Amino acid sequence: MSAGDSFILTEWRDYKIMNRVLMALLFYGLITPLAVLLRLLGRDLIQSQPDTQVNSYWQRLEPIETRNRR
Amino acid sequence: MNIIGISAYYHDSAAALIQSGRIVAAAQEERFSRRKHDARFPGAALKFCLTEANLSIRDIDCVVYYEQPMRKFQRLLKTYLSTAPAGFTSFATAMPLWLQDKLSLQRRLVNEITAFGRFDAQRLLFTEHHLSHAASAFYPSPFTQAAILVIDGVGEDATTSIGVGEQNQICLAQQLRFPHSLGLLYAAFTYYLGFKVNSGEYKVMGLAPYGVPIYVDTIFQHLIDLKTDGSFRVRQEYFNYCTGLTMTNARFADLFGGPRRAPESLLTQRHFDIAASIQVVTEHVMLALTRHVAASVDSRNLCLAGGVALNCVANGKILNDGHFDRIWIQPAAGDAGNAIGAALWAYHQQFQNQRQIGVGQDAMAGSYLGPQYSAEQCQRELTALGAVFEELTEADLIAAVVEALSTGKVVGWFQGRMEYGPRALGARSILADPRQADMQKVLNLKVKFRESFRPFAPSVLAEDVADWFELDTESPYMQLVAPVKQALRIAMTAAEQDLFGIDKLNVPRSSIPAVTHVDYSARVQTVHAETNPLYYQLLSAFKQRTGCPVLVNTSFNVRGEPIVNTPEQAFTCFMTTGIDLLAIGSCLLYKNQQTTQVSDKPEFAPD
Repeated sequence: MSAGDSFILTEWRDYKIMNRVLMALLFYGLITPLAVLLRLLGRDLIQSQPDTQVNSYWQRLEPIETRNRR
Repeated sequence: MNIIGISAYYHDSAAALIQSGRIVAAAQEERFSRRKHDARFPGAALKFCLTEANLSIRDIDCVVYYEQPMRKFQRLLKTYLSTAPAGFTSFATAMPLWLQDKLSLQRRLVNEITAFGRFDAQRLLFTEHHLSHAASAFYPSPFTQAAILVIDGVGEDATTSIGVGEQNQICLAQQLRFPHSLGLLYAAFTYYLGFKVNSGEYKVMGLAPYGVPIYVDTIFQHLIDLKTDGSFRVRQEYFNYCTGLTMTNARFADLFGGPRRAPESLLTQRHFDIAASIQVVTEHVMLALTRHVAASVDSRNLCLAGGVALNCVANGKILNDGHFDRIWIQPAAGDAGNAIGAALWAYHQQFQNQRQIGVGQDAMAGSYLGPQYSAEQCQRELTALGAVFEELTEADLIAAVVEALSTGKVVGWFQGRMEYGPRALGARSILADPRQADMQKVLNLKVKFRESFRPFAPSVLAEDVADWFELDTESPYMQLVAPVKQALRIAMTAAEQDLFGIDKLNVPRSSIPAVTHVDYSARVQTVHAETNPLYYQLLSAFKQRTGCPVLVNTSFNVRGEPIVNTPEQAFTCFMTTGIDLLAIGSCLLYKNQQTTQVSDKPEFAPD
């Protein structure tokens, strides 16, 4: 392996570490506090738990024409 | 009006061309790139579509992408906001990809398409994942009006959708959303049983008949909460697909008494029982869903699409349940079919064009929508490859192939336009005599190079289907499983019943053993003179010779290889496997007459 190759490899590894650090900052610094806040407010964005109080989980949709499309 | 539909960047990318509402061409990228389930931009498939209709990208009125990437991204964010601080691994893997690539999908698509000629973003439309599934299920169907049911893993966030199709309009009315997904539940079991997600599901279905569904109660108690109207939620504490890089977690493994089966490792009765159980649960949920559809939508016709609609065992049960008179299932029910669906959606709903409905026939043309090769092209390619072949008239070709089949030979059958969708339907097929007791073994070991727990699928003349199978409807796309006719079955002795796995499969259980599963079921393809006259003639001639209108039909490939597309790929597969005879167009090749050696045998990773 030439010196040039190892330089590229190091750079790639650094890049991956940077990526990881950035992602950790985003995830633990932003997503997690928001998630905790939502939980405190009792909001469940993906309705992850079964619900014994209801008879049906179907979500009715509004007619298709009124939905926004890009 | 010319519309291109594109499905890409998840699995099985594909392109389709619609001209004035007619499906002109459609193909999956894997057939060109030779990489199974290829998810990259379907450039080669797009090129094929344009060439087939002699168009350039300038002639295309619009290109329709099959889903809304932004909505998918929103779903991911919503999921992390629900699961954090759990989910970092998944986040750190998915987010960089989104930030670098997928969020700018529009630009990326325009760039890819621009490689074919000038193209601007105004001509690029986006539809919704389940709308394109629904469109692929309804618009090509022979029905003026029908109920529509889409069941898959997940698109943007819908996992199950119910709707109505009438004339040129589709309206989705009810949905279930991520993470509650029958497709992901089945995929989780596929993963747990050591198979690949998004492709190994059919293996789970094939293992199920060996097992006893002893875990059904466990699944209903712990994993899925099913309401009487077919709606359900999946209990996330047993799964990992929201937060991690795997499908199931340790709690799931505890529930089923052991860790995930290592891929390619030994299958035991426990695995069979788990497969049988998730299959039973899936059928149960699908029946609850279709009954709810029948109650909500005033129609006796049902259109199905989405990856779960590839579960042909469940489809057979839905048909027998009697809530619908007629069922039509998109042959490319998985995401590949969304290319057709996206284009059809734009033609009918975005541009408000009238729908043309074939009388008694669907608009898929037998799903023979891929490339074909002229007699001259076949000859030229074969000559260049050094193949020894003879050219025959159609009648002589059929006679020679029937002669070979009825003496136990394995035949490669390469004719006409390639199939769209996962099944070989008599255009790129390997054929054999289903009556021979050892044919299933021979095909698996000599041709496919695998041991298989699944028997092969039968092709049968459409008008004879009821004489051979407990089925009195058509199944042109191999999407219904039905039992072999009672009179043809051979009862197993108690000792044979106790045999395990493949040994059990090798016991002849009917007069067509190569296509009969251990529970006497078969995945039937009915063959119709209208859509594939040559294959129809072949089956008729085979029937005349043997009294049997049934042939073994398996895809023309080896394990892990996409189905062959070109004469050269067919020749290579022929030369490197135990196929005895190859019929390409009007050319017939006998293995024992070949003088060339094919040394560069392509390698394919196991599927």
